[in-house]
Amino acid sequence: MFDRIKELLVSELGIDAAEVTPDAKLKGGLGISSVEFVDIAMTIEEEFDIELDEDKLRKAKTVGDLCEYIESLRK
Amino acid sequence: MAKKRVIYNVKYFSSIREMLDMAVAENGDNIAYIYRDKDGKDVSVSYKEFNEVTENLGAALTSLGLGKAHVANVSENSYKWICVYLTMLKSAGVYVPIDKELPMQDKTHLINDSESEAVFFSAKCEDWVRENIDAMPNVKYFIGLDMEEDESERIISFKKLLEKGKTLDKAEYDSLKSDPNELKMLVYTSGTTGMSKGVMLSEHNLCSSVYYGLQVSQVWERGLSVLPYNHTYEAVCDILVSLHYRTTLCICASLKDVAKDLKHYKPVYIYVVPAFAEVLYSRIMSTVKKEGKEDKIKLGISITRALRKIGIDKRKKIFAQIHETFGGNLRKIVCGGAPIRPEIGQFFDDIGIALIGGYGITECSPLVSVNDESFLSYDTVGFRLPCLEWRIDSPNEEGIGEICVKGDVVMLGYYKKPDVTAEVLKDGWFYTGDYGYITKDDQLVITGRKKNIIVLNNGKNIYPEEIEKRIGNIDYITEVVVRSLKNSRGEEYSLMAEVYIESDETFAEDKVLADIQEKLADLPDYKNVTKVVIRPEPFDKTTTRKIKR
Repeated sequence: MFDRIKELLVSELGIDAAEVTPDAKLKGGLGISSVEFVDIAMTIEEEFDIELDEDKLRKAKTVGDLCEYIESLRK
Repeated sequence: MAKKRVIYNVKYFSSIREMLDMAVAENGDNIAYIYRDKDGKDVSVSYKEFNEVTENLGAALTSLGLGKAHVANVSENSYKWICVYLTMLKSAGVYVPIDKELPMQDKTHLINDSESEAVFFSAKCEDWVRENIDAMPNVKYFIGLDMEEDESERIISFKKLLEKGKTLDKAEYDSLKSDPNELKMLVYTSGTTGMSKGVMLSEHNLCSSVYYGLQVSQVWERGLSVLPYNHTYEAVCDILVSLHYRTTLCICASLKDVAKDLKHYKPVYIYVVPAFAEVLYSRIMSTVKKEGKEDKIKLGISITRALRKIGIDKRKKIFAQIHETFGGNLRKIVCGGAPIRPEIGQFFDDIGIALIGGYGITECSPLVSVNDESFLSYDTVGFRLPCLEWRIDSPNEEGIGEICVKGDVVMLGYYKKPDVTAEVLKDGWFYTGDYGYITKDDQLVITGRKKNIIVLNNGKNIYPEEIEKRIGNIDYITEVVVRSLKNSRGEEYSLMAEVYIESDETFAEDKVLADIQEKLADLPDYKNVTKVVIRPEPFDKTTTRKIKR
């Protein structure tokens, strides 16, 4: 899961691959803006065929949190 | 460029109640709203059914002694939000929409400042209500939009309230009348800096915005509504305008759902902010790239441009695949809140979707001017509403000065702030704080914000937005803010650009500076940038996605 999310962040938002670690902060560290976050959420929903809850999504502070949340929806 | 301008015929109305009554009498069975319920199923509500809800809720609120009260709503976009909104606009009270994303203490402060006697809130705001209820002593009722049962005497259920309203006589609510020129909606605006100010709008302001707005820019039979309802841009320009047009408005719960809701609801128009139009654009381009169709798109654009010159429009056919991603019916994207990048506007126009820009400010309810498909221009923000006069205060040699407007949509003032009101409202003229000029054919061009102006030590005024717009057209630059460079005496002597670049590549500041200087080469020397700083992360944004300067 982490590898796939990393790939998405790198390809969709042009983030440096080396910076994408499980502990990297989505907004602070990787500098993802609110609209970009919406963009990536749309891609994740299409890619994994899942429905993300906006409030739960906002609670995901790190890349690891995001992966964990997506995993929980796929179970 | 200005083409043949169309002024649309719009039915006159003098109150929001009259507007809704007209819709019910003439198109009562038309679908007014479609929204998803908790199970994700679409629920359709006709104009007649919607009006009944406002009558029931209005009667219930009146029975609680709230028919003339200030009533706030702190909740996310929903069908219920619109029900509360229209119920209050039809009453003799005042509606106070509040951004649920504000910090708890700010929400509490605004409830108290607005002297609200009742507060509608969603499940997401329950903690705020419970933790701060004692700090809002003026509030008699907190009405839980998602609560099934009443919790206490002060915290009651919307559902129960509505059930009660069904049993009540509507005569008292229906007889409520307020002066059309008195306060009807109190909208708190933070602006990009500074403390919140309560903008006082009258019912006449709101009705004028709808009536004259529709005369200059058309909507259609089905729209998708997604921007925050607590902003007048969505609450007036979309919700009220669509209501008067008898549109079916489909409610999209979140920006992230826009792409799938476009496909699902197949709207003809949508209101967004430019940053989101950029997302839609980049998603199209990324698909085009992945599918190796870049050359095909370029060729398609050349062909359709040539055909349009001889009056043949094949854009929808040639770009059918792109149109399908938007549901197939989309013909208009209205962009507000910030300028549109002309390149993006041109792209959407090339594929057959009009990207419409305008100029609005909450203090003008909010619409001042807007483009339309009939006179689409990406260089201007369109023609003024017919009810407005405009002029440029103290123009410089280029005709640029502060934009001032006067007319039916101009606010009454700032709530309980006569001094601040006096600074911006003089002899009926509202000083917008925005700078620009008026073209020969009476269209408005915005050059920047008054507070952003840089005055160089050679006396030259710089509108950083003008330079940022050009720099923003450099492919690899994602965000930019132009600032002044100060000498040891604190004087602003030259310009620097702070840029954010979203890329795997590393860019040297020298190379970026050279590219920027090339882009600005035709401007006078004093408008050129002499230093570049590359920042590691995007700029902070306001809730309306504007960069915090």
